[in-house]
Amino acid sequence: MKYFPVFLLLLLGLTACGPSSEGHPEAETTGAEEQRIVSLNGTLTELLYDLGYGDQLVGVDVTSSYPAAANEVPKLGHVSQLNVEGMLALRPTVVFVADEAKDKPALKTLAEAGVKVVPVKMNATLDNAVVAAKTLADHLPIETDKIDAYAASIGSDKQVLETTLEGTEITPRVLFIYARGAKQLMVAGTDTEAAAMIVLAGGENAIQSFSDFKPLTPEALVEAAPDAILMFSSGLASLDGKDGLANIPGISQTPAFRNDHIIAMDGHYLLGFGPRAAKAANELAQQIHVSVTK
Amino acid sequence: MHSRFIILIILFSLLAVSLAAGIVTGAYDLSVADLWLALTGRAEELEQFLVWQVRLPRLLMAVVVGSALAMTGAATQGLFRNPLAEPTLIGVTSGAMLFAVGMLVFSVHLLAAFPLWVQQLGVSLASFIGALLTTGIVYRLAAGRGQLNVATMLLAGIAIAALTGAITGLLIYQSDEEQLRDITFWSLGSLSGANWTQVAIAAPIVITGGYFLGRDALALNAFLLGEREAAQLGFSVERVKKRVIVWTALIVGVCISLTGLIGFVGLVIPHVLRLWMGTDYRRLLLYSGLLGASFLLMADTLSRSILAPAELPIGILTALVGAPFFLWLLLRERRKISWL
Repeated sequence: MKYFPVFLLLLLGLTACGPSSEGHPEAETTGAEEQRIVSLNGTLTELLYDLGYGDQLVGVDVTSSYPAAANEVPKLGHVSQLNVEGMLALRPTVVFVADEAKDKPALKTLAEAGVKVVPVKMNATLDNAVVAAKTLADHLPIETDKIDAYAASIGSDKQVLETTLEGTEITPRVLFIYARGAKQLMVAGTDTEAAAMIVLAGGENAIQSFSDFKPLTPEALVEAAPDAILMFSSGLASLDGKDGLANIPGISQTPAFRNDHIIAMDGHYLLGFGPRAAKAANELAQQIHVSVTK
Repeated sequence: MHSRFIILIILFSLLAVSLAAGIVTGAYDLSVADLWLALTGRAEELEQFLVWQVRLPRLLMAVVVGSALAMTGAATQGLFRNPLAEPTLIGVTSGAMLFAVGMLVFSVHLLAAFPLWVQQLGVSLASFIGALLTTGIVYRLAAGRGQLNVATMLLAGIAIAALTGAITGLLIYQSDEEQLRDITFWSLGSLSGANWTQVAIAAPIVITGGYFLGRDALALNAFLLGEREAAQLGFSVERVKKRVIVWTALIVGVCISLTGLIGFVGLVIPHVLRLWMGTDYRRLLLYSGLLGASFLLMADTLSRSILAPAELPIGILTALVGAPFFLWLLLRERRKISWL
């Protein structure tokens, strides 16, 4: 009963003039002033830290776990499930998002509120970091020599990778298994970032018959006959390591397992396609080729 | 007469409190004074936008969807004379799910040529069509010789739900990780996409539908005695059934298509009220609408503030908050229960 005045007040507010909605807080320019950046992609977060913008990040998505400092920044959850108000509360001056996620309704609303939402094209290539950094530089005062330095360091990493690959003759068949516990096992088909990385590292994706990820079946494992099995460290850990992996039907029959060619790498390092992508490719190249020649 | 008035006041107060709590709560720190300025159009633009384009449409969406789900829940329970009935049983949910998932998986190929807003509207439109289509099929299966057998409809609904569930599973199997994530979030429901367009689409259907469901309240009361008895009391039973099903499908279809699946409200809210004030559809429908609105408002307020600046899917909260409360009520009132 006592809340009735409140209710009436609210109704009054509702029926009162609907103020125009085209709220565009002062347009952001790429000045030298402090930015309030939201990054909705783990690789972009890594890049921003790398380029010296880590302390200007006010919010990151759930995939932003590298570097460790990113875990101190308020997490906004998954890009498919964003809280518009939560993001507005951070008062971001610019929001960076991977190109494929740019059409989420929450981001639309954010743009309507006058927040600058910048889609960044991401590719599964070793130069991705440079390309993405250039897009970032359109909206942040990043010096070009910083990006050039990037390109140079990635270039030299690529050189190392080439040297590694020159010494190899075979193309090992590598199977990427994405695991979240023994009940959730997926294998990477073609058209996945995992497959792209395997090819870059001089291997061949062990599965050519389908694209994207599919649940793992024992028969498919045997048919794929991988020379090496590649997993995220976290994925292998979720199976309690190699012993747990052995318990999965079909695994112990693969050449990879018989020769103990199980490779585990950090997920973001391996498939983030950030500034360390060429390094990761080189590391993977060494591992898969060592595995085969062993 | 007196107690009825009190119940109504309590329910309206609850709704008012939920609305007030909903509008002052949020990830964005806004004082009551600033809120008032924003409501009256005198605050800075960002806050104005926040209140008018983010919070208010979302609150209204919660009111519309919450009342819609609870009202249709009550009506279907009356129609089927079954306490476990909810709109799922007439196929509306499973059809919406199937078509929405289909759209989420195939829209890349199907709608690639269309502008983006068509692609986005695609999921809502598809799930709405799916909701009506499956309800139509379930209805056809159960209707024979000018008569609708509700028991058949109940079973047909379950069978169709299983079938569409299987096809949905097949589609999910085909989906990539990104789509899978979208499907998961869709099936957990969310009001995070609420805007005035959504309110403008849903509210008229829900209000009209609620009005027409309410007009059949006396008939639903008579259904408590049995269909034959209702017919003998002078109700055109077949028409009532048809109307209730059509309106339920429309109301639930439009809500689900805009917010995804939000479970639990339709099943439990009417029962809470039954435990409290007995079954009289002349009041139960309205009261369910009021309580459902308050309940979803509170759940949504929690969902957008509890993990702020992130968001918890509302479907998780409705069950998490609602189920224990319902169980408590159930145990407390165990002796009084005489369903329907």
